Amino acid sequence: MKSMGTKKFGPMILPVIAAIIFSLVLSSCGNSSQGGPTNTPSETTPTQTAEDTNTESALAEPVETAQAGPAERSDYELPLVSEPFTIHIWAPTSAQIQKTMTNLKESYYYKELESRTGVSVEFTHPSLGQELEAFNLLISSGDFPDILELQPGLTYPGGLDKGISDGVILRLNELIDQYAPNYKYFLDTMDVVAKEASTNEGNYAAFYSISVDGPQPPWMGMVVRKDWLDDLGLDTPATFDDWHEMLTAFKEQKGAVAPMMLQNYGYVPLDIFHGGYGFANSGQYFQIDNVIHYAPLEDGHKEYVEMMAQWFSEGLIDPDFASKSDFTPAKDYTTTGKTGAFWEMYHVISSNYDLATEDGYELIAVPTPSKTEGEQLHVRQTNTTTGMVSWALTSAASDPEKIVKWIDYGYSPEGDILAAYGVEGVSFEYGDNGKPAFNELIYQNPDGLNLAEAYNYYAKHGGAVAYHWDREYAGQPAVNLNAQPIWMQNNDGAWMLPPITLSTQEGEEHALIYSDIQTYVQEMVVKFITGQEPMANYDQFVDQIRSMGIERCIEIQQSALDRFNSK
Amino acid sequence: MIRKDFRKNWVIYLIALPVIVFFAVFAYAPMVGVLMAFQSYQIKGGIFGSPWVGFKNFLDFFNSYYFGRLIKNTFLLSFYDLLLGFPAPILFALLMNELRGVKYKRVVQTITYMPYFISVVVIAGIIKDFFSSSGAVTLLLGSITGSTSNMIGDAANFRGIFVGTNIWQFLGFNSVIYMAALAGVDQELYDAAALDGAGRLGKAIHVTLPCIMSTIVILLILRIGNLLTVSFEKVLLLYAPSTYSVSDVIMTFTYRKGLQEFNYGYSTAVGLFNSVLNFLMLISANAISKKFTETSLF
Repeated sequence: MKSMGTKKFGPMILPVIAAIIFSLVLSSCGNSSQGGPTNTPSETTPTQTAEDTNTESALAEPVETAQAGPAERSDYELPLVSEPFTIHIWAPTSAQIQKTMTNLKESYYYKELESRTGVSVEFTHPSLGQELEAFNLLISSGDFPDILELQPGLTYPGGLDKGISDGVILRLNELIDQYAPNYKYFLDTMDVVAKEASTNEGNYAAFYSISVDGPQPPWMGMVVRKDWLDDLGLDTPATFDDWHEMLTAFKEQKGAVAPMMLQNYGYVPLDIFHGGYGFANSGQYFQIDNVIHYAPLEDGHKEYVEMMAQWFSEGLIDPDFASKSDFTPAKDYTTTGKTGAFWEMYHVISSNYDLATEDGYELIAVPTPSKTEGEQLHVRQTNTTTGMVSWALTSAASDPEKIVKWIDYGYSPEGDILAAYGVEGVSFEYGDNGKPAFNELIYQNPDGLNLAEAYNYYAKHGGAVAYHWDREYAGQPAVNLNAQPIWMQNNDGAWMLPPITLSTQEGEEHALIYSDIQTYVQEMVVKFITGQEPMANYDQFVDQIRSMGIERCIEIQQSALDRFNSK
Repeated sequence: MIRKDFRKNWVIYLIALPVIVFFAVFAYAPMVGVLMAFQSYQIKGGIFGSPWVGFKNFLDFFNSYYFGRLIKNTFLLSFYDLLLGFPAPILFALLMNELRGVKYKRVVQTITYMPYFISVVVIAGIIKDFFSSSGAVTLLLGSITGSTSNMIGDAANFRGIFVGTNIWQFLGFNSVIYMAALAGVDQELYDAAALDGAGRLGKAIHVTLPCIMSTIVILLILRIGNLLTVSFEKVLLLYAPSTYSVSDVIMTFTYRKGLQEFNYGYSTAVGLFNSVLNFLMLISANAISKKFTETSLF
């Protein structure tokens, strides 16, 4: 029998094995690629990436902010170049862009920019969802474009100082002094920009987008069903007790299956809900009077978790939150009466109305709840003055002088308006108050572009710009416009961390200790909330975090914060 | 000797050349990357310019708080997958073999192949939806158990859902190899068995199974060699903090270290450790099989 088995099927087995081995090889190749959107367990912030320690050179070459720069911004004589000149840019895009353009250079903005400056651009876009992998491959390939668009999480591994010392990224200090008077104007006149846009070693490594009117107000916060509040005779909730009453009513009288939404880590993202308990964790740490704190060690955090566990057991929280990682809750919840309280970006609030399945559907932004009425809070979604997007020049840049001038044109009065609003008479007009405002081409686009698509086609998408966040306000319905003041009314966001950076050594040490702690905390917080772990064990949980070495992590963060403050 | 053979059979050597190049380029050349496991890898320096750190990356991993749990999770998830997922396609192929209606057989085969060709991202979305608190499966089971709490977010259910859906995904496709083996069984053997008085079950047990046994053993050995390589993308797409205690496996840990923290050296060390374990298991499974069944890979 046995001999029959091997003899008879011997020849047939060989190709089968070959096929299997082949498929194994293929699948193991596939494993190395990172597929699609993933449920990423760590919330690393851009500011946490490590930077090289070489403090000596920092002393040798301080940031030259003291030097007198031009008092005014000035326009360029156009065109900038006499010969045709092309700049190669690597930049991630978005689904919105890819709907309307295959390459950003096709946009009205870049065509107009080319006709004005004589400089043409050529973009390379990574596939959506593969940005990080594409970026790392690009860096290791050594085949660089002129400009790299950097974003949170998409930055030179080891930090920009390391990028400069590795000879990949150009140090811009001298180039900015000589060829970028308009960008320099912002560095000289806005202290916070000079601080945020320079590295630990005092290098300017990239052109940052700058919110010229100061940091943008919070763009995300909590909203609730206004029509339900009115039906139930409830006021806008101010305290956590008010929230409890409201959510109970949503559940019992409105039949909401998930009265309040929550993300799989057990928090509403970006610190927009739990500020009343006096802790923040979207940037992993927070600071009070320049002293670093770690949320799970705070008493307020314990109270928060206890409250959420209680609410969960009462059915006031989305029963499926533990498996949801959506940035904002899915529309099949927010617009159907399944939930009555969730978080939303301010300019998206009204878009829920169009999809609503219930008559009279109405939303209202609500302030951060506090423990007692009338408290001033310090934790919310905040923004830095320098936007997170920046353009760095690489060592492969063919003509840094021309490229720097071309970028600086975007910060000049004329280039600034072009980048923010497009062309006068085409996409915007000057209003009676002398301020530019988009026209119908943007708001009721004849080609069917929606608002965001129209912005990105007629004005500049991302990159290094002087950013006017109020350009989005015109044409917004009242419910959207009212949201930001409401989210700020009792909350100054003063405890959030500024963009601090660790040195390479610090970064490695911190990552080694912190990644286990992070996994432990994420897991335990959810278990406390869902009741898999009794609250009685919370103190053991804190002891465990301490024994895993959180104190050392806090020390490292503290020194990075001190360094930032003394810049 | 070889020269003579080459002169005589050079066409065959030529045909083999692309395969050899393929393995050299895609299977052997990347192995140089294993050196990263012993380095503090820097992107700029590359493999030949990064500082060496000896076994530091391995020691960091062994001393990591979650080392024991990662090993346990990886092993258990794979083990259950093997225990239930390996026999399923064999049984399925045997059942299909007994079917006489050709049309019906084709329809069933097509339907069972289908999930294999759906992207794992979509599969994960479907699974999350079906096992949510208002999902189809949850409601179906809820009518028996009375509980409709979210299933996929509960650590107690994760392994069951993972293994169960794996069977659903791969049942049809994995049975193809067995069907091919079954097609090769000599019809005369069945006729002889029928003369000896064997019924359908008798034929399946005494003729079909022994005939495809060597295929089964080879596939089993290969499968064991892959025991610690769970379908990483699927775990990554399905897991959440609430299920880390059973779902965090070596590969997801490697992913977090390597691609999210840029700790390439550490990540490679963990991956290499995983491969070495797999290799040892493959060798032992092969040796055991050689000893007891006379069928082996090498």
